[in-house]
Amino acid sequence: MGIFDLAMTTLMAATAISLALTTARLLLGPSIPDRAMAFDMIMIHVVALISMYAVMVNQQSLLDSVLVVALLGFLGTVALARYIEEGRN
Amino acid sequence: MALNEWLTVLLCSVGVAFMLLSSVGVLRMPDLYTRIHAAGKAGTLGVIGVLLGVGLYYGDLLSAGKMVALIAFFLLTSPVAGHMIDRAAYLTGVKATPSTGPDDLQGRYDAEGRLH
Repeated sequence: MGIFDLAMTTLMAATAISLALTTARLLLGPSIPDRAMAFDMIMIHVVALISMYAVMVNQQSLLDSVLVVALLGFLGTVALARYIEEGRN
Repeated sequence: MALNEWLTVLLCSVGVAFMLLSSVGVLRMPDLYTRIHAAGKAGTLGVIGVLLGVGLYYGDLLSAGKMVALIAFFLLTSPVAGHMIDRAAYLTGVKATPSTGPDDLQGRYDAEGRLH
């Protein structure tokens, strides 16, 4: 395990800590828009984790799944926001 | 380590630092509207740093192009998502923290959620 693998593993661990903090907001969140925003942040963390993992294992094909996850995260957030807004009365 | 590995580690470190700051902000800020500031700006900047580092690692045009497309996608969609969540929260009556200044939107939305 070289210095590069060690550095990338440390960065992925820091991202996992950040993901845990965001998940705490998803579980705590007093209102539903709080949870929608935490879902958006979690999708951003998944994008960062997958792309760093693609560098670690040297697999360029994983970068395509990053595109899919980013698109699904945005669509999910927009769908949640529309759902909250339309269902208010 | 080769030069591209140094660049990847450097850019990813900057990005991960921003993402960590952003999630601390999401956890610690007092109300929803300030939390969305932390998520929408620092979070986007963080993921852009990580994607820049990953795009420079392989050194070919295809993966760098994919990462540039993703960066453009995040720059375009993150403000839209933040604004839609903010709007849904305001229309459903989520209260800001009491020390927030004058509310310019008060009474300007009708029952269908249109601004006038």
